[in-house]
Amino acid sequence: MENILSVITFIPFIGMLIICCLPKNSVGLIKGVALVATGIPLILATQLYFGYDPMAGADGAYAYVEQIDWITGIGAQYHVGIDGISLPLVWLTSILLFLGVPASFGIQKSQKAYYALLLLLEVGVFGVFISLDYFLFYVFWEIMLLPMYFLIGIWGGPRREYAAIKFFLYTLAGSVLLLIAVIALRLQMTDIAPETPFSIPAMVAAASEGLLTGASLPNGGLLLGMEFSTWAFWFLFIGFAIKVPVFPFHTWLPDAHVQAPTPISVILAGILLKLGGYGMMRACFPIMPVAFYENAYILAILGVISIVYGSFVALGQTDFKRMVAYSSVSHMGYVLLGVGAMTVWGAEGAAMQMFAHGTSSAAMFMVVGVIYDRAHHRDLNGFGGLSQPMPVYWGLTTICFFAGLGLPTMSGFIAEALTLVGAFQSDDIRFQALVLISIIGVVITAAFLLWAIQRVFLGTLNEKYKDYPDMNFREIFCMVPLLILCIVFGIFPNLILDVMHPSLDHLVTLLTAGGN
Amino acid sequence: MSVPTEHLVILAGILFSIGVAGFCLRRNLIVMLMSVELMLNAANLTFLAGSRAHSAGGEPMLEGAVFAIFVIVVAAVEASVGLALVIALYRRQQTVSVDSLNQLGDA
Amino acid sequence: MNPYIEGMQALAPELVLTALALIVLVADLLTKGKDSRRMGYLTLAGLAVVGGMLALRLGEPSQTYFGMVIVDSFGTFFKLFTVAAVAVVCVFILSDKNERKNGIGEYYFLLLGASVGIFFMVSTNHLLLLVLGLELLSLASYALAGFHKGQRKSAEAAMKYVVFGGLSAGIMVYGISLLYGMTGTLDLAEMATLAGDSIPTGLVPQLYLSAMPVGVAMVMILAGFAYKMSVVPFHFWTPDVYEGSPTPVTTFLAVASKAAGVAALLRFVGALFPVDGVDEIIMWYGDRFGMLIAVLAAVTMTLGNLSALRQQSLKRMLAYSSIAHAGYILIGVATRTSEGFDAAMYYMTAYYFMNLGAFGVLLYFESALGSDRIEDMRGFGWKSPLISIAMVAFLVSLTGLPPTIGFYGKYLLFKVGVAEGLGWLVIVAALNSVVSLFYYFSVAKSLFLKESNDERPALSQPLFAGLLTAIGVLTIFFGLFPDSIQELVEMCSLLGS
Repeated sequence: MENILSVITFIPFIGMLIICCLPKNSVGLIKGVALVATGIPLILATQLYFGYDPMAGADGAYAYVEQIDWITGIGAQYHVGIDGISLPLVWLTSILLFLGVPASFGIQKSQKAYYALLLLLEVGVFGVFISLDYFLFYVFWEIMLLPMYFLIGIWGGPRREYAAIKFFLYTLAGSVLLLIAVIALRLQMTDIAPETPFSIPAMVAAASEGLLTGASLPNGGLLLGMEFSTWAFWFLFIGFAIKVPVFPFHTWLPDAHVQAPTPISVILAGILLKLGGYGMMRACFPIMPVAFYENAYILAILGVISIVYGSFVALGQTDFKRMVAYSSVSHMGYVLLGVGAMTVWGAEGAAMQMFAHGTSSAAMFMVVGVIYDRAHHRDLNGFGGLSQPMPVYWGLTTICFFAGLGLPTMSGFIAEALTLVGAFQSDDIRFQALVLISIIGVVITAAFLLWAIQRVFLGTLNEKYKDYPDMNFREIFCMVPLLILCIVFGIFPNLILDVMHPSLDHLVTLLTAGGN
Repeated sequence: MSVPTEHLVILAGILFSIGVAGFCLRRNLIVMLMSVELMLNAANLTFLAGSRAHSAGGEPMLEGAVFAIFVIVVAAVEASVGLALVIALYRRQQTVSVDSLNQLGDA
Repeated sequence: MNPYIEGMQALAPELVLTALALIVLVADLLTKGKDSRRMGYLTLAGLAVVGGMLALRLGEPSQTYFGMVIVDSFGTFFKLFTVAAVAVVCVFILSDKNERKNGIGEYYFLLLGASVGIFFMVSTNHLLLLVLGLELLSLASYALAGFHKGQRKSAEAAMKYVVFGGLSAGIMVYGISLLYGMTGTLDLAEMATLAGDSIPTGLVPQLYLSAMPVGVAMVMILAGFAYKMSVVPFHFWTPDVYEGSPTPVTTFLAVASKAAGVAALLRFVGALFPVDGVDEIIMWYGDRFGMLIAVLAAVTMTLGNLSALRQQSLKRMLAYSSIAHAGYILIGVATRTSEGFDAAMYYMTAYYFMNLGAFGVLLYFESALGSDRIEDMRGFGWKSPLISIAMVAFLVSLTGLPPTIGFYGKYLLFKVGVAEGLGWLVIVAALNSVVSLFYYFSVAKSLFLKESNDERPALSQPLFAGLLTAIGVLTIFFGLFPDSIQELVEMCSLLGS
């Protein structure tokens, strides 16, 4: 199929329209439509993933490209395509959204609106991953916020209103800065060639020729006393960093995660955080390679701070979900460290970490959801001995946490190891110090995850909990595929590394060229 | 011997300033409306002075004079609308102070 | 042909509109005000005729009649805009329960009269006609604001409007008189081009003589525009008048009246200080004038947004939001380029859709709940989902997020801002839109995130709901496919491209 990417993206949208037309009492039908509307993209994306020729993404090329004029007034196009960086994430999205539907069957309030918003969210996420036009990218980037706001705000926990608006405000603050930088870049592109489309690859190409220096902007691109390359890079970076989230922009994350309903936390951790990392790799670093080269060390430091700080804060949490949320901050730090190192291994580690974290943290939030549905609280110290009434739960949780702490044979191990080795290889000697510091994060992560297992499953069984039913089929169905992915990619990492390698190789070439 | 243009402009400036000051300092709505009239009349005087000065070359320049006549009309209409509203206010509240306009505002 | 007849033909839309106003007035007298709904339909039919006549004119070359009336596409754009706005306001009046009780045909007469004022205001470079159009608009607006004369709030709103309106008119007319005294002409185009030797001296020699008096006159004239657009520091009347006036009138003031102010300001700045001015000193002076407008823009948007944050009443919040939006529009004016003006016009169009929508929803809530407090709308989204979802679309657009028309408008404004070296202003505007998210979404929060404790069922108004949904759909449609509006704007561009 030529336009398979559009089909994948807009089938959920059609599903949303159908759900909007259904009467709100026919809950079964609504769930069915939601399953089908996420299931078809899953099948197609799986096909796409295994039918993908990795060399299609070599040398900055893209596969399955569609390019249609959209807003002629500003040269924006409907320009989509995938490469080795976006394809795994598209696939991950289709998996998690599909699993998110059965995971949501427990939700009782206004199901019609819920599933409609969930599908709209899927459209936005797919759109960001496949967009090659910066304007289109930005539109999808923002469309996503709205369903997320309502999903947290309507179906969330007690402080949902606060968490929802905080999430929205943080992300918007980042994305308006992003918009200003994009406008400045776009103006230079039209100066170079008036008819250029608004495309990201064109900007990357112009940047690699050293054309986007801000010289054609008024005042030579000086803004508030900052050089163009400085402010534009940081505006873009902050826009994406808030989403990742990188320390110190992470404070929205614990609130959003804790208040969101389980399936939304799963999607938030599994996919939305990846958007930030993906955005940097696609639409920030290669467009500002020089500024990136100059600031790579600072980025890596931010990454390491996220790794270490996130793990220490997670260690101190008593709320199960908050702990998992901070573990996300820690895990996403590897992405910055890996890309910042500017080695192929580091970049591969970063890209793989995004996928690995997408599966393992999603599974972890499902773990939290299972116990929360039964106990209606998440206090780590309030449990104990749950391994007796819920052995299956115990087993799956243990696998899941091992994936999270990066045990060998799990995908997280490959990702973290690649990142650290890649950073160690860096020409910049200072990176070796950063690697050593981030080892602390690895150790602490292992500590808080194992400690959590101990507190929840071992020890004396609390009488209140002895009649808890074990995980039901639906819960197992939602979690097991993710754990299988963790293990499969942990044992056969080449299944994903081969797909990503040519594109990442090209990315690293572009980035290191920034130093020359 | 005619009055120099500068004198007319200065007089108009004084009138305008009195109008602005009256508007800002007085709390009586009728006086405030009168101050507005004063400002408009200052404008009229300036228009006429300008019109006369520019006609000095021989060819009469009447745009300013025409403008002044229109401003008189506008001022009259504005005064009638304004006074009608003041009367409505007086009927209801027995006062014409601007302080009685206190129903609307940031709480 | 006789130039007089030719001129009358060119002014046909204005003449039809004036005739329509008088017919409505007389017909209402004859029916003794019993049949005000028919007056509404008559007005709508007449507006459709005027709109059709205007639409046929689009794209025709610019012509000047009687030495002061300019008939060009730029003016036609704003006239069409006004006709569309007044038509929607008429529908609001027709579907509002409270208005039906008061139901008086004079409503339509005053609206049409105000529109005639706008028509002349937007189609002239001559300061006399500008002032007359502006005053006609103002006088009709005063009466409209106080239309519910039995209500204390309405009367108070009208009084405040008159007092502030008089002040700004006084300042503006005095400024014009000074400018006339210095340059000897009231025609802006003539003023910009006259050389120093002729007897009316024009602007350039005056600026060489001394820039200060011209500056005083310019700032005073700016006051009149600032008042119509509710730009700081002439915004004080806005929240009170918007709150006290009947909601359809508020809609008219927020949309049509503000657009007229924008159009007149664009003509004024475009005629005197285009960025590629004829003379060096004009360019030098224009830079300063542009900087003044840029500073006003920054202050206006910031003040409007910060004040809107603490409003409990949706109506008052929208009033402050309209102040903030005036600030955004000024970005385009401050650049003094053709692209900037086009962006301002595009944003005005966006503003049209989202504000008509938002005020329509407000009107709906007022009739359904008898209150305009955001808090009282708790859980209403679940009762009338269609209107509430449309409201979310308007709120998203007002915030300036995709995929809505408001986003594209903001994008264009930001683009010209960055391109013309007003990056600092764009950053202020961008941060402002983040702030505005907070208060706009307090409405969405109330509608959907809160539980309702109000047992009253939703109001069933299929026609009105249909209109609002249509505006909502257009808000999103033109956000995704803005080309058609952009082409229209470029066709009607003031400075040409």
